[in-house]
Amino acid sequence: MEHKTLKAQGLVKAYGKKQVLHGINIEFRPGCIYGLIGRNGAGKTTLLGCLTGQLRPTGGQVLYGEDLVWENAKALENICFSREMSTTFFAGPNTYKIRDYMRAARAYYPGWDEEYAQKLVAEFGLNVKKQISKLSKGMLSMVTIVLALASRAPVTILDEPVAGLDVVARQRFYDLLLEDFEQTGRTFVVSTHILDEASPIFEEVVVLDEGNIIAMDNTDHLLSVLHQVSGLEDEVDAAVEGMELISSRKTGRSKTVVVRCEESLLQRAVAGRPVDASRLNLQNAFIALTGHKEDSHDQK
Amino acid sequence: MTRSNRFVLWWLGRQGVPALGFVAVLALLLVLLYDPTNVSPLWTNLRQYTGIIVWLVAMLLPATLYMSGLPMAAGMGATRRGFFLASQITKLPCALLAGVLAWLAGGLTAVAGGIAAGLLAACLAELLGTICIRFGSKASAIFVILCALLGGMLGAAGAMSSFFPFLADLAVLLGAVPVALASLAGAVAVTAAAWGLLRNMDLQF
Repeated sequence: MEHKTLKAQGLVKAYGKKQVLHGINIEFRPGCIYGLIGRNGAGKTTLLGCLTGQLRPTGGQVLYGEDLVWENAKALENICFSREMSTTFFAGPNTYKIRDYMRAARAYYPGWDEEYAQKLVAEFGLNVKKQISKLSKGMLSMVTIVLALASRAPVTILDEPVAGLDVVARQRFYDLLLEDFEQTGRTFVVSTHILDEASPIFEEVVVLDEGNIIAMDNTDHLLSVLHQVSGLEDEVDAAVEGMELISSRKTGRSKTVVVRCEESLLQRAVAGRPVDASRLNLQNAFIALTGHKEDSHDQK
Repeated sequence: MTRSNRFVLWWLGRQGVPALGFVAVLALLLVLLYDPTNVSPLWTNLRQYTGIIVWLVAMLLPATLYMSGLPMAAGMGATRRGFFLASQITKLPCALLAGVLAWLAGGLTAVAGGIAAGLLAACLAELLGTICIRFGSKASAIFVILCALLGGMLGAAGAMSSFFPFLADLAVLLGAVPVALASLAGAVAVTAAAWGLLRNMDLQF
């Protein structure tokens, strides 16, 4: 199996007149766990669909190494896109059984690890004879996790893999992902809304907002340059003057802002001022990056 | 063997074995009931409708492959071209059964026309599957109603004499070769239409 970079260049996707992705440029290098985060409707699943050849880009291109992904069987056999399963097919229920999905996966993934799949099925307590239409949301997520991990595909993409899973199962998934990553070193791209739990496993994080990538950085670095500063409005404004303002919120005379700057610069700026400065966790950084735009425009 | 070929063969085994078993039992009944000397309406109708049911079951294969197999395969990295090429094998049972029915109704000379007409029907089923995938169940319902109207008109025409003798007479009237060629041309056109719908389709369900 080839481990190459999956990349999108100037990727545009529109549904009719509605443009969902606006010229995305992104690279997923081999041997890295990426977190893809964005609000509902930001275009995450559309981006993943284009990256895996399921959706035809309206503009731009997707490459695996130097090869186009679109309708390229050789490239696609290196990419696994594990997404939420539908319990219905058009007018009727999805009558396939878990074992049917596993057999289909055996046909499509050259590196399919049947032994590992059986081990995971046993660990999650799944009954392979059960129909997809009769599975709970959590069980559906478990099936997608089994398919993704046992595919052994060099690029494995999981869209909302922990939806419906309880906290214990979620933690087990993160452990399995890290174990697999240590063994195989393959690329994982994980899209999720549960950021606090998942942030320790993300080496790189990609933030998608309204069809644009607004941040793509090493997770630790991103969090080291995003700071929250709060205090009286005048003091806060004076402290963060000249810095890149991400968001701001006023409550009476108090103000809280999030800025992007090196920590040493911030420390110098706030030294001696009656303001509080702190780092953000990934969830709060995400909220600041995507959640308060309208406030930020009237500042600075 | 390509990945989609492996998938479609597995799918045929999963879907097709029970369906073909059903078809085989009905086909056996049809052969047992076939008695050219027995002209009572009961036996004649039984023969005809058994054959039609067998054929319709076979015709469902290409449509159901698209409606249920494609979403699964697409999620695992199937290419449209690979899946489409692999899916062509599902038309064979429908075409061959139509050949058998034509042979029973019109003798050996009708077999080629029967196979070609069966192939055309299988191609229409494939088109139905792609329409369903591309435009959803509402468009499929319209397509089915149109097919039913067309089929009803043909059936009504057939009922005025008797369905299979009518077709056999038609084949004799027009000649077996033109009927077969016209059916094949129709099959190619319908297959091209199905590919036209599929080739750039978004496959996220």
